[in-house]
Amino acid sequence: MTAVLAHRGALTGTAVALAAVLGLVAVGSEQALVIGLITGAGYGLVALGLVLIYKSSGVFNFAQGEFGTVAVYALWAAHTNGIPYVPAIALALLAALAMGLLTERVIIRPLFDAPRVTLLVATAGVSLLAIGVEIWLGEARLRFIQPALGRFDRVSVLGIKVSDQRMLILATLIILAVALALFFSRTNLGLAILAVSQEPVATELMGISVRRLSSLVWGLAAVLGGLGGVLTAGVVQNFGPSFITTSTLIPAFTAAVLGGMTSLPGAFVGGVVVGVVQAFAIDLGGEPVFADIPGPGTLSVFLLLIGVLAVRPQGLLGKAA
Amino acid sequence: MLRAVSSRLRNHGHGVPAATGGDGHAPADVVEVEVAPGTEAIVVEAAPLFSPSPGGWVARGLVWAAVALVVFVIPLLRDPVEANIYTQAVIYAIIGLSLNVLLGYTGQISLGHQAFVGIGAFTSAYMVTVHGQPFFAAVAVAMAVGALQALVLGAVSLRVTGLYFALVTLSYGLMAQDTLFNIQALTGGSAGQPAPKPAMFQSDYRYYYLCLAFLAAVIWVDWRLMKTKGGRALLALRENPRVAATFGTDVKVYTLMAFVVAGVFAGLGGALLAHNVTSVVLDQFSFQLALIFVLMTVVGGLRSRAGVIIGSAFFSIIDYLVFGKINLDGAINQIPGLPNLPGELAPIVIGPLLLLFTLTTHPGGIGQQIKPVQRWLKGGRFSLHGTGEAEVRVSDVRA
Amino acid sequence: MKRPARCAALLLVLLVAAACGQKAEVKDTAAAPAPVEDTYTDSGPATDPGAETTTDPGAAAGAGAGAGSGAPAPTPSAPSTPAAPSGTAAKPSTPGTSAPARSGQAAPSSAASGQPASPAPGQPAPAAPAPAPAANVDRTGVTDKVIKIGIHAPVTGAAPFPQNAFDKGKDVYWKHLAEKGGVFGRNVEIVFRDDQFNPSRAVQVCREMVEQEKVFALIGAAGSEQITACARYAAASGVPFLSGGVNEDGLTGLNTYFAVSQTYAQQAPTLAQLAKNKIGKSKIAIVINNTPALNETQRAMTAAAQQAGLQIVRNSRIGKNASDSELLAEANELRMSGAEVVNILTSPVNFIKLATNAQAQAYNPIYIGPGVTNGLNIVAEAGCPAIGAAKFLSPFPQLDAIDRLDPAYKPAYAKYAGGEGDDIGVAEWGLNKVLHKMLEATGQDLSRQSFLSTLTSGKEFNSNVYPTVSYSGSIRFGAKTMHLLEADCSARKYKTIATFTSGF
Repeated sequence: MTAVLAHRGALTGTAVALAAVLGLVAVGSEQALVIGLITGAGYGLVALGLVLIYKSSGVFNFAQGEFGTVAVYALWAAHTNGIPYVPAIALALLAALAMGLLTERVIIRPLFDAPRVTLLVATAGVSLLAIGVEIWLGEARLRFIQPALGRFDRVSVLGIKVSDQRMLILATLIILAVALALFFSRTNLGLAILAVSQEPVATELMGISVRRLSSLVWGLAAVLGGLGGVLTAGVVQNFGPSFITTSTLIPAFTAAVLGGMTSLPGAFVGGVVVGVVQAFAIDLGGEPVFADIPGPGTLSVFLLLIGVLAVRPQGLLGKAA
Repeated sequence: MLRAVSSRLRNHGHGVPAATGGDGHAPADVVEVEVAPGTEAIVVEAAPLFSPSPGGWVARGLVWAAVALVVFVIPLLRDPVEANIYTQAVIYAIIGLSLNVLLGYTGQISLGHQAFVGIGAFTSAYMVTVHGQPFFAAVAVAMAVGALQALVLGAVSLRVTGLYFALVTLSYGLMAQDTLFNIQALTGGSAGQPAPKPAMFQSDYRYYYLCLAFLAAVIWVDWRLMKTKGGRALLALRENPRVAATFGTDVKVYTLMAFVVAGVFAGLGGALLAHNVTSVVLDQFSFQLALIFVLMTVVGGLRSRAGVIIGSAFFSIIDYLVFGKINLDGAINQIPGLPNLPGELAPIVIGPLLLLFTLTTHPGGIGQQIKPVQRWLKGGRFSLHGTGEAEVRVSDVRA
Repeated sequence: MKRPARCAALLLVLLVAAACGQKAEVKDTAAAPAPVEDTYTDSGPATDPGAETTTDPGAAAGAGAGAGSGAPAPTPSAPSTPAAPSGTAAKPSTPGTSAPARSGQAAPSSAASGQPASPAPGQPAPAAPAPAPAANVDRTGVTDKVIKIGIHAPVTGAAPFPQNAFDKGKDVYWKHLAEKGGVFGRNVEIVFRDDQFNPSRAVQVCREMVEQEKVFALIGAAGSEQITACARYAAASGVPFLSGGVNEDGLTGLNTYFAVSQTYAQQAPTLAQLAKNKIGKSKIAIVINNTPALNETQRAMTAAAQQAGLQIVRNSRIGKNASDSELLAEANELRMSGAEVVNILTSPVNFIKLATNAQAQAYNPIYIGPGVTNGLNIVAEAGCPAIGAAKFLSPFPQLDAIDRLDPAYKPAYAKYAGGEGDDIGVAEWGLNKVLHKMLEATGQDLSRQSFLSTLTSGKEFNSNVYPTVSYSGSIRFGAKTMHLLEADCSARKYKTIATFTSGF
């Protein structure tokens, strides 16, 4: 009995999830589950980076999407200049890393003591600048990029084919979420990063360089963002300026909030939930009853965000504040 | 008694010792002092309050005249298309002041401000086109609707702190663009809704003056509001949240009040904007616009009305004036090695650069920089150093 | 000065300024477009210099700002006289003295008349030919040597067009023509503005081009909403406006608007026949952008498909900013409906994403559709291989056929713009060429009235690049044929598989 009580959170969650799945199947929207899962994986991947930054510096990083877009541009530039795909991805991640480190050094570090909202605006400024430069140097047009894994007829769930690229995203997301969670809870470095976010002065006194840790975190988040961008671009197979920010940043933030801004596995869970809710709303939007409500996808994400903040602000897996 | 006088001398805000009268406002040259028998009286001669020389007055007058010239007369001399653009600058100033109330006084950031403005715009267009209401009635309704939605969001902000509130406003803005503004019955869908100018103000010039009048009203309301108890409570809240907590639940009311004021201004700005271009289309209320609003308010300098006005005006007409008229992009393109930066693109690169520069090095923005000039224009001494007020911060810690 | 006193002074100044402004203008009547009649006297063979096309000042002024020529001295009718730019009143002056002149430049959206005493604006009075000195002939933008034309196109904003593409090719045709003496001794100067893919901005830049740059006519390069917005403004100001054919809704009844290729609705029957006869399939899906202007297009496509005996298995609308989720769902629905042909009318971005999602579901229908933008090479470049052998109608031929239809294009482009011409350059070349034919037909005596009158005279304008067009009376959508392009994914380009076709 005590075991049940101790894990009541997880049990309730599982029960709710099961009920939701059954409900979707009952109304005939089971495909929304599959669509939600695969689009949600993309959101979760971006959300991971958001949670990472928030966990370690308490900042909402608006530029996370642009880490991805810049990586994609780098990948495209490298690949069309003859570099094979996999090394080109490495170059792309390097480009994202450079951008992350630069952001950290030039923008985040001077504003270390500033209010968090100032940093939010600053990261929004970084993303705007990145978009401007993309349009300037790369033109506003769409470009083609091929996926890392090209086959799409291997797996089919409930009638929806899941391409290899999408499965790659899902797998990457799960592995990274688990790895990062373990990193923060088990390794010394991870603990140091958490310590910095809570007590920077004391941590510095202990001999840990706050500056170096900050660079590390932002570099890591940028690489995560770059990876997410590169993989997502492979799914849609074309890209333009700001495409990650426009398509995934808000759902990713919602996913992060839903999962609990401090929980890395939460980012994964949150991503899936946002994806499913959005897909279900779009499915409903096709019904004649709801046909007059435009933009069901964005509306559902908004309502979900409000709902989470109203009912359980710490998110599904986060700790109560 | 003597000690009290000297302490008042010490704490006077101007940095120049001056004798003060009882209420701390009116300077007095002579203060009567009662001295207990047997104590030594030290007479402190206070320096007189600074007053400009006649030449100083003339100089100040000339600058004021120049400002008045630029604001009132120059637009008349240009053709209507340009006057139209200046009107947009005025309207952006109103919107900037609206965001300034929010960001500068309540410390909450709205990344969905384009939705506030857009709702005002569509409401006014709807009232005029579909319901045939006269212009001023439509604007009034737009302001009311703006206030209403701001009230709702304000209530949300009481429960949800800074960063999360920013996220909510952002999501709200996107939702407004995709859902609210797409309701064809109300907004004409993506074809938009026409919004003709009122009969008395058909010409671009007259409309410009109308908008200027509204701007003056907005400045006045904002100024008065901050003098009220509520306004001062909000300022205290920003400076020191813990002290402000002792104000109790009143703070919530004042915060909501600030939201409502911001919503009214934004609704007004939206309505004026709609009628300025005589049609409203939802495409113009994109997320980029929200960021431009934040940009212009922050670069303008928070809690500095003049700064925000200048910043907003600047950002609204930057591509027309700077790159159209002054041809700055020609200069940029001379820099070797950089690919051509066409004039249309320059604002989207230079804007964010200015924002980042402001945030990292001069958080007070334009407002901070022009403070010495402002003080001088009001008859004070010209001094580049601070008045002793705390440096402006973008917002308080609310996350 | 204390605040209240300052505000009072402000208000006082404002009142004075407003009082010195012009008289109250008539309320905006632009909402009701002027009924499209032939308000322009047909002066017979347009090349006859003697016959002056005149219109009633009210009608001309009803066309708004451009006709401010009423106030300054009337221009003599001799053809060789340089046109007195009617906008000369933009001199610094105090409000009071130049009131009449400036009122001619009043907000063009208001159909305010330049002369207070004129008849109700917007009402075209019967166009009795006025006595010979045509007091109200509008020669804005035309001088002895130069004709100024304004083009607006999306450069920045949400449209994925290459930055310089529109800019590079815009005056290749005219430079090429200048070598041959121009149009009756006049060269055409192009003024180009970015409309940021935003209708309000489009109106703004159109106003700038008309009122500040004093262009003779406007051209809308792309973007149906921008075109619609600008065309409305142009009609209210009496400025001729040309564009490729887009929607009809919102553009019907504008008496200065001329579509130089078929509208979407006009292309519907051709597309239905394409599916039925050329491709040979019978199950069709119709997918259209969810904007109100395209409601009538959807009706037309549906009706044409039914008429051709096709089975419509899905008929849906997609949001303009559709998310990945939405497009995936739509692709899935299309797959489940079994559509063999998909008639699609959305932005290139949505088209490519939809096709990619469809391909990922192992569903590869044949995409067809109307329009200008989906048949551009940038779409093939970014969308292949997902778009398969997509076939789109287009007003201009692709680069593989242009040599056959107009061999002058490529050399001219190489000479004046540098490099190899692209398909956007072909589109501009064709559009400019049509305009050239129109100007040529109008003759030496060029004014807005004579131009418009020539256009509505029923003459045919054949550029051999764009479809042949002719207009008359209230017919403003004057093309009867289009080209058919097909995507060649091995080369990542479009190729032309039929020219000047009106059915299959």
